[in-house]
Parts: sequence; C-alpha cells; structure tokens
Amino acid sequence: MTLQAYQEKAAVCVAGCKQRYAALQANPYLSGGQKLAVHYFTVAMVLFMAQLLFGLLAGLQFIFPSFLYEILDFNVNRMVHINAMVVWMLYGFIGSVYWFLEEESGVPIVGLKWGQLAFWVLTGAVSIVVLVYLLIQIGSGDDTSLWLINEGREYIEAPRWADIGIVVVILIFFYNVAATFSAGKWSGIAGVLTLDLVALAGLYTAGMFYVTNISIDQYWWWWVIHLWVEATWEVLVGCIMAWSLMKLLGVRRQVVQTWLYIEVALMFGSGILGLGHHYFWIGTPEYWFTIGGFFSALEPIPLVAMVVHSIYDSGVHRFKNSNHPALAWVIAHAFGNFLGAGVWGFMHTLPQINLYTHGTQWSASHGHLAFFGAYATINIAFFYLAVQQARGNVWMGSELINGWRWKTAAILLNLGVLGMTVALLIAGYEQSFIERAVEGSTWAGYFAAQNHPWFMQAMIWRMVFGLMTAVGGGLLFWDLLEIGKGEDRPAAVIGDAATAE
Amino acid sequence: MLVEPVALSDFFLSFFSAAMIILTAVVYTALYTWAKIKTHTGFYLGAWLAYATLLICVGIFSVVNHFTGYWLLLSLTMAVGYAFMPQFIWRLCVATHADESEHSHQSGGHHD
Repeated sequence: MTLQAYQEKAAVCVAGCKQRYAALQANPYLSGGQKLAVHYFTVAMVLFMAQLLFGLLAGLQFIFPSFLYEILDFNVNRMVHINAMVVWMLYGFIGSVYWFLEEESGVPIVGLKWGQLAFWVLTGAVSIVVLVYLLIQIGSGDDTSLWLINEGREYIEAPRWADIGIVVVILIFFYNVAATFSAGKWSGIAGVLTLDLVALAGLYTAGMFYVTNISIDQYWWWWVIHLWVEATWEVLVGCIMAWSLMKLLGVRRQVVQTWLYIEVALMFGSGILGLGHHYFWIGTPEYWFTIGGFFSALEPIPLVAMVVHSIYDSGVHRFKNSNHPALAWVIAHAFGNFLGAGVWGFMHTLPQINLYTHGTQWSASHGHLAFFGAYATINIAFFYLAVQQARGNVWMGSELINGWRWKTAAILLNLGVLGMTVALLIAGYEQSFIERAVEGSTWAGYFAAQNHPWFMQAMIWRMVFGLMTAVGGGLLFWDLLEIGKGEDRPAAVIGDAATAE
Repeated sequence: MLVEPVALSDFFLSFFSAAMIILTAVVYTALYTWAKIKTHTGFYLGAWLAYATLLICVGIFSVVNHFTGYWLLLSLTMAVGYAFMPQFIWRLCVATHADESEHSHQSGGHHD
C-alpha cells in the first residue's frame, strides 16, 4: 500500500471520528453531564484496549525474553499495562458519576465547563505521560526525572507534574459533584459519594512525597495502592452500583441506600485495617502481623454477605430487568469479585503463607481476577446502561439485534480472565514452592523457578487466555459502538418510581 | 517472630483449606438463604453440612498454619462469625425490603 493510500485511509478514519463526535454533541437524549460522561467512557475503552495490548506484549516477553528487548522492555510494557488499567477504571468511575449527577441532584451540573476543561487536560496529560514512558525508557533517576519522566514508584509511576494534575482534576470533579448536589438535592448516595471524593483526592497525595527510608516510603505508598483500591474505589463503585441497581432492576432507593451505608460500615470494619497485610515484610513493627492477619480474615465477609442479598433478590424478584447485557456484567461482578478478591485473596493473605507467596505470580493471579471482577465488570455494565439511553432508551432485553456480539464478548472476556488467573496461580504456586520455600529466596532460586517447566507452561497458557481476553475486548468495543442501532422497541419499564423516592 | 511459617509439606493443604473456608462459607450461606426463601428442610440440612465442612477446613487451616494463642482466637472468630453472619444479613435483607411488596405492585409494566 502506498503512502497516499494510507493518508486516504487516515482521512476517512478522522472524518468518521468527527462525524461520531458531532452526532454525540447533537444527541437529544443526553444531558450536558452525560455528554461529558461519554467522553470519559470513550477514553476508558481506548485505554482498556491499550491495557490488553501491552499486557499481551509483556506476556509474550515471558515466553520469548528477547522479544522487543531494548525497544520496548518488559518493565515498560508492564508499567503501561498496569497504568492503563488504573486510569481506564478511574475514567469509567468519573464518567459514571457525571452520567447520573444531574438526574440524582435534579439540577444541571454546576461548573460543567470546568469539568469539560478538566477532561481535556487529563486526557492530554495521560497521552503525554504514556509517550514519555515509551520514548524515554532508560536513564538515571534524579529530581528532574522524578518531576518530568517517571516517579519510580510501582503502579503510580506518573511524574510529579502529572500527579499534581491528577489531584487538581479530582478536585474539579469534587467541585462539580459537591456544588451540583448543593444547588439541587442531597441524597444518601450524594453524601457518601461526596465524602468519598475527598478521600480519593486526599489519599493520592500520600504517594507524592519522597523519603530516603524505603520502609517509610513503602508505608505511605501502600496508602495510595491499598486504600484507594480497597476503600475509596469500593465506596465509589458502591455509589455507582446503588444508582445502577435502581435503574436496572428497579430496586427502591431506601433499600440501596441502606445497603450502601452497610457497605461503608463493613469497609471501615475490614478494608481499612486490612492494609496491614501489605505491612508484613517492609520493615514495619511486628504488630502489623496481628492487625493485618485479623482484618484480612474479615475482608471476605462483605462478599459473602453479598451472596445472601443476591439470592434473596433473585428468589424474590427473579431478576426482572431492563438491560440484559448490563445485568450479565453485574452478575459477572458478583462472581468475579467473590472469587478474585475473596477466595484468591484469602488463600495467601495470612503471614504464615504470605511469607512465600508475596510478590510472586500468585499476586498477579489474585490481581487479575480481583480487578476484573470488582471494577472492570461494573464499568462495562455501566457502559451498557449509558449506551441504552444514548440510543434513545431502546430495548435491550431478549432477542436483541446482533445479541450474539455482547454474549460472545462477555463469554470470551470472563473465560479469558479466569483462564489467565488459573495459569498465573499455577506459576505462582511453583514460584512460592521452589524459589521461596525450597531455595530460600536466593537469585539461584529465582532463576530455577523461572526456568521450571511448570512456570513456562503456565506462561504459555496465560498467553492463550490473554489472546482470548483481547478478542473479547475488541468484540466488546465493537458492540458498544453498534448495540441498539436500528432498534425501535422502547426499553422495558422496571420500577420507574424507584429513583424518585 | 510472631508467626511460624507453613511447613513445606503442608503448602497445598494451607492454600486449599483457605480457599475451601471461603467456598464452603458461600455454599453454606447460599443454601441457608435459599432454605429461608423456599422454607425447605433439605436446604437447611445442606447448609449445616456445608458449615460442618467449613469447620473442618478451619481446623486444618489452623493446624497447618501453626496457630496458637491469638491466632487460634482468629480461627474461633471465623468459625462463629460465618455461622451467624448469614442469619444477620438475612434479617437485614428482610428488614430493608419490609414494605417492598406494596411498592412492587405500583411499579413495573413490561417485564421480560
């Protein structure tokens, strides 16, 4: 193909994007906040695809270690893979809140222009950060690199200027939310959400200062990693879920808000001090064994409680719903969260066994299923709720046009992630056993474990299921762009009075 | 050191019993809840059988992890907590949905 042909294809692609953007801006079914939400959802899906792509590249490097060596090194692939995941989930959460903010408060969003500006600033910053990651992969670490290139802290590598930008964007988001509820009406969801956003912005600052003592540095770093994920994100998702369940299943406001308060109580009771399971081996005092062990053992309780309520609802209400794809992803959330966070977490959380499993592929196994089950599924469910309304609140029940697409995407994504989880579990078990227990965490032990057939076969299987996940992700993207088009049946009406109570 | 690591020979037992604690807890919870909805004795029997399995798993987990003193208290808390938690959550479910039947008749229309 000639250069001119490529240019023509690119021009067609750009024209298509412009056309879609114009259609979005003119969509009569969406409010200003919902249009902003669609911006967030679009970037979230692009980042999800990036997460899958860089995950596949990193996975290939386990099988072929020289693949892209000194072109796109493993540490860079892994960093972009994980950063893309964190950022697409945040984009999904922020978009979801913008989506329901006006309906929940009863007034237009206060300071929407600031919100729109924040979106473009954040998206520009994310693009620059990723480009810098890819273009400057090697070099010495000093104050300049910390401010401009890479902060050097695992999972939150964004340079300091971007860190400050993230906090500013979250504060603008907080302003939009708090000012809109203040101008309109407050609700239980509104109160919990607003307080949670203070914690979301505040806790991120714990990972923004540098100390020379590695134990102290890690102590604060975990405040961002654990408390963001197992406290503020959980509550944020609880708020999004509460609103979604009113829409999707027609659950009454009083019920979802009561359970939101119960979730916050359980989170305070287990999730916050569950932080202790990260303090076992970083040089903190031994009492963290006691605290971390006890509260980690409590952490599965909210998940088991969820089972009671799910069965209660399915038995009494029989899952009458207005959006089958969204409900399917909510069910995937219940199972994925329970297995990934509950079972996979508790298997290796106590210090007696965590001594061996800590930082092996076992952690990666737990991480894959827990993040997918707890957060990715909820974002995807919300995307389907949003796309239903964007198409004019059309039918998304049984016998949907091209319904095979969402079903196949859901099956491939869920089986793919579950398969990767099991493959990584086998690799992690082998590492814990050979590298840690038998060889005593030596370098020789590390390489013995990495070269063991069980580890290498597990990495191949992880790749197979990774490809399955990527195909499912691509199909999901396609489906979100097309689902509901040409559908003229109105959406099923489920408990229409629920959100207004 | 406050903890004694798991012995090499008990590796699998530790992981497996930990997973089974959570899985049997959920089976017990599911059967208990279903028994409440259907008021069926068979489900209650299944629920208590699952709970008995859970107790065995907690016992194995405690032995292979060398639990003593405080850690045994943790095992006891798990055993007691999982026994009563489904009942507590069930009561909360019933209480929060108390006036639901009245509301559910008002809403709805086209269900699929």
